[in-house]
Amino acid sequence: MPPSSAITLDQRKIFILPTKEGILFSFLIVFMVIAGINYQNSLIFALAFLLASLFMVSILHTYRNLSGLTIMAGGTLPAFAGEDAEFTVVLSRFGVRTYEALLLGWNIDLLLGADLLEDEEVKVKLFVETRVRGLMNPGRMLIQTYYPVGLFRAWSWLDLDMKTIVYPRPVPAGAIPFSESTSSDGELIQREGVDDFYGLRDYQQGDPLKHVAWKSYARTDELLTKQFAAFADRRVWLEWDFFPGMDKEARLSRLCHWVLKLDTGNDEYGLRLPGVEIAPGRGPEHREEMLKTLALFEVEQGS
Amino acid sequence: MPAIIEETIAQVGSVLLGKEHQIKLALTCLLLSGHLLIEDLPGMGKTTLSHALAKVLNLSYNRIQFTSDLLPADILGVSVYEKDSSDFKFHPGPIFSQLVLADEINRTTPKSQSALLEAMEERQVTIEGRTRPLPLPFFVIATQNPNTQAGTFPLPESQLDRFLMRIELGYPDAVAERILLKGEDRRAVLERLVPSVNVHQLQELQVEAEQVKVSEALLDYIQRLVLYTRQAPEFAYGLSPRGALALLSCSRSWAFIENRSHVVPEDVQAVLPSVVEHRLREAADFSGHGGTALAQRLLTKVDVIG
Amino acid sequence: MTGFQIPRNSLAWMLAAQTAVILPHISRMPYSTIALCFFCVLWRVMVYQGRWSYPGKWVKVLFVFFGIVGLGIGYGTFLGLDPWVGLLIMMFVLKLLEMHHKRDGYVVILLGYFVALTQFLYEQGIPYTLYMFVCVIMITAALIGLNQTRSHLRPVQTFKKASVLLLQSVPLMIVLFVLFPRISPLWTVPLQSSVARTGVTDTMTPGNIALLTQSDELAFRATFADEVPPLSKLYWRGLVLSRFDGESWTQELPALYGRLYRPDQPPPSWRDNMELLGEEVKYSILLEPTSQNWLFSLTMPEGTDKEGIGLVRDFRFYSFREIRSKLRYELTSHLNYRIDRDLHDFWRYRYTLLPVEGNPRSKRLAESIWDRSPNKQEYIRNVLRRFNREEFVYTLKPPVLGDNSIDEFLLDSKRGFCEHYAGSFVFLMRTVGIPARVVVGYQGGEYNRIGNYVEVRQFDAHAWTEVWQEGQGWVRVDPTSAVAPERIESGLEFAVEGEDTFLSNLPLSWMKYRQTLWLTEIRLQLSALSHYWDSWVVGYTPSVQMSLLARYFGDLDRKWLGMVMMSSFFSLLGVVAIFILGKRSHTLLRPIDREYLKFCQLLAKQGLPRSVGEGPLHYAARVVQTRPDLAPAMKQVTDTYVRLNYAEDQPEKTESLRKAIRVYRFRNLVTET
Repeated sequence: MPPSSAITLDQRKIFILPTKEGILFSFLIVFMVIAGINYQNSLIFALAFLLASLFMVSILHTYRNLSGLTIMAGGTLPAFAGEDAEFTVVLSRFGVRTYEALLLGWNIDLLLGADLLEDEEVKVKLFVETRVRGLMNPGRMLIQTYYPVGLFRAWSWLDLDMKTIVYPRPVPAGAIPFSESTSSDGELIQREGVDDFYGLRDYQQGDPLKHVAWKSYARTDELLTKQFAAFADRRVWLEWDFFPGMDKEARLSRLCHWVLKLDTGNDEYGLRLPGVEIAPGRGPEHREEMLKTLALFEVEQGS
Repeated sequence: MPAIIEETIAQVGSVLLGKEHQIKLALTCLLLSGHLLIEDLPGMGKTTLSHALAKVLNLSYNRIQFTSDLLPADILGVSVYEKDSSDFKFHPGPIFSQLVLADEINRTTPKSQSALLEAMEERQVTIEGRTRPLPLPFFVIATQNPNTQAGTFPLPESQLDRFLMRIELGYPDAVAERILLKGEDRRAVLERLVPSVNVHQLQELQVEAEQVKVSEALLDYIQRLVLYTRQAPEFAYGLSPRGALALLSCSRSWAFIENRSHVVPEDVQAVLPSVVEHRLREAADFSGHGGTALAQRLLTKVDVIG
Repeated sequence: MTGFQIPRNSLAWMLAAQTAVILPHISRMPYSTIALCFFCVLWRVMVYQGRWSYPGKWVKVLFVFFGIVGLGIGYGTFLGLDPWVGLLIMMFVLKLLEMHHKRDGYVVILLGYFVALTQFLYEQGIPYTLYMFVCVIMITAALIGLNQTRSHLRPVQTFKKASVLLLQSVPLMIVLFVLFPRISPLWTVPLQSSVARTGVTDTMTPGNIALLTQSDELAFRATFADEVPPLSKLYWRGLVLSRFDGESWTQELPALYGRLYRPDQPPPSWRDNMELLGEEVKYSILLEPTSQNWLFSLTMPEGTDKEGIGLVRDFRFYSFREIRSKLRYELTSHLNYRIDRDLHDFWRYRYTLLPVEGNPRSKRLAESIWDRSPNKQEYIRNVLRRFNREEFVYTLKPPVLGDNSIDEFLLDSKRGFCEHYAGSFVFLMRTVGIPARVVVGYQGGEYNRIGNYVEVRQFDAHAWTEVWQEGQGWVRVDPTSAVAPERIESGLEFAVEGEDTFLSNLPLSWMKYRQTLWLTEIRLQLSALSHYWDSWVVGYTPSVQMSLLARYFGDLDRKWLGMVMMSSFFSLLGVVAIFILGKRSHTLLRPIDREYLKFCQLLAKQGLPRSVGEGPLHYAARVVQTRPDLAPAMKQVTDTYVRLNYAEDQPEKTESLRKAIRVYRFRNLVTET
């Protein structure tokens, strides 16, 4: 089955088997029946049969606690290789049936519990350990439940269409070397939205009215427009060639580290990889783009 | 279809070829005294549509071309000192008319945009401390270039909500295009249009449209739709109560245009994309798009029976 | 090791269930065990609150050691049921202090179920069963709590869930209970140690039956197949006491009686001494456990065919095993009979034997009456007349008598209970050479018309006599009836009405209020209920099962029964499954929508399913496009649905829609054929 973004559990997808405790419980019932036979005690029989019936009825309840549940792929948050990536899974129920004590996750030893009682929908944030950079699909997710009595385990493996980007693991690489394209003396940039006054120029059609130098107009009868500008400190180019002799992953890790470092400063920065070039820029979106490029650069298939 | 409306649609349709659905949507909006946002590339007939509507509905009409240097006063009007009477005289701006076409609203600064939007909301303007009512009925048809075009100030989400509907005209189909190419100038056709209603009749139609019956089952459907937008994870946020109300009244108005005494789910579905697309955003998308896909999702995921 | 903390919800129910399950055992447990239980629970609560930590290994060893020593001292033995139950309870409680894993929680819960089971070895009444059912719900709630997320903190909700689960299990349990093939014990098991039970004993000393009448405990219930004989004729014979040592009466030496008459052997020679006359009375007795071997029967019983029971030479029944659980046996008796018409000289000697010493005055009295009497019959009558005429008083509070008890009773105090009269009567008979013996058992009982049975309680205990007469054999003579005929006619409380001694130490006994009519009504109802319970639930033994099932299924063997059981169990499980899983996961549809969706399903079968979100008008249009022949029907159904649902807002009027769909169906049928 191809991965899908929402899966509703039904009998084709749910497996159910007794747990160790369930087997122990059935031994208890056998023991009770023997006691009933030996003591010729009807009420002991009754108790044994009640528990045997409970055993059977609990199959239905455990199954019910998964069937009809809808699991949707929610958002994901990227992570650096080696960290845990966050995957949001949305559990929702339709109608009156409630779900309780659902356990889900990718690692059978680290399952997260969730209830679906009053809410019609819950979002569960799951964390998956990442190892290599690239586009990560955590694989089939396990959802299981022991509820209500723990004698049976119902489970299902879900192939949810979930992917997240894993950035390279940042590796400190010392000070940033200047490539020849790094403009060390700064560059004047004119942009809207910056507020350092820079000078006046002739008014042109379409200039914002608030930028018109009214004082000067009053004096000279000449329409001038105020110009504002900011200096970018530097424009830094991050280059593939900074690290001669290193392998691809090592280079990317170090570049990643610098991206993070530059992001905290005031410099604009760009990236040059073989066949890829990102013009210098700043801000969260720029950073995002840089990291994404690093993450997906020549990713081996299958990772 | 009420005869007057039929005629109106036919007349407007003779100018704007092959766009009957959009014309009906625009009429739906106008019947509710709601404002309409038309978003499309230049040259698709936005101006033609509004002009034709004004003409056929017999409304006073003004067009404001929004540019980056447009000032609020250019829209609302100014008081000018008159030497003769030695007094300030108010010169009403282009907003003082029954149908205002705010062309390329996203090309002006937020300040001018909000002057217009406030007028739309309040249906009156306050200039120099004096409140002046706008004529009745009062409609604004705003047009907007897609945001990706350079040199634009996209309308913020909170402002988009003030438009009852947002429609796209789209390219004409082959047949319409052919007629367009072969036929005479649309402007000439526009000139020939004659009013099919007067203001009084229009108001009557508005009252009639409110009489359209909405059953419990239909309200259930609308509630399910609204609930879905609030619960499904692909929606960044759900539809507001105002959005839900807009959906209901538009459905009603549409049903009226369709000459039905009651609203059926198909009416809701006809207006739903125009009503909700600009009010929704996809969770995974930060650029503000994806409303179209979401509306389609709503239509195919929420059953009319449930 | 301390990583696992049992969920609060579960722990709360675990402790509550433990307390509830152990509570009924407390009266049987040594104080040391009770103290240990209490201490363990306290410790566990402290651990939960984080004040104390789990006990170390040595502390636990110490606990176990003291616990076992306490049990040993408390019970004096490790044989028998009680110490083992005590041990089980101790384990159950000690395990509380060792809950490091979820698995330990399961062990505590499974032990809990088992402790609940042991209670049924002691008590099987309806109230106890209901109580244990609640206990089982509580244990199950603890089990559920163990599997809930930690954030779930609503114990009442958990209890409700447990109740739902168990109530859904009850029908399945009933199937298993009725149909599971019952078999005989696989091996012998330790039974409850003999407990002192009130009841008729095989020794009669003046005063001990009077003591018995202070109890209102149930002795047995007898269900009659036909009409119940009058209460005055209901003499439930239990024991024959023929040896007198001057103070108390005891049974004849068993060796002298010879072989018992038992169903699996040919009848012994003395069987011919029984002549049963008159109509037969068929009845069955459900005897409460007595911890003794004798059984009660109306005079004079035929033999029995029940295994493990034999008829003794003095015509009463004897069980080869001590009666420790309820025992049901069917009997046929004849109220008219003639037994031992010819009495061997040896037996004449045995039945006239008296101690040489003692009670001289009584002997003289007997001789003086004998002198006055022309024959034996007249002698008997004179003695009875003496009881009747002289100042003899029938009382529950007889004075304490000395060595020559018969002398003192007959000539001095003249106040006594049935055993005084029976004993002294036999004494007087034997003194003059008439063979006579004391019979102990119950007399009368209370007729319950709801269940058509006679209920005999301890205060119906009675002693009377049998006198051997030439040509008639043993004849029953009840000297009490000469003193207090109302005892035989109506019952004990009428005989002692004046002295306020009836059940004087049981102020709240139901039995004291026999005269209050509405109370009696309730009491009879409850008693009948309890009788049904005892006969059909508690007394649902292999033989009862076989006879019950034979009535409905004819003869069936075990294999067949097993198959019937499995098939009924699983079909019922299917019904439960439908109940549990069949609840639609969608919100309830309104009837009109249900009808419309049914219609859509009809079309879906034709390959034209309605897609999600498709409105009725669009759907109709789409259908008609591919199937123009359906247009009229489509139009009618769709128009009706839209009209009712959207135009008129009357979704409850489904009739016209249904009609339109019927029309569609009909047309469809016509076009198909």
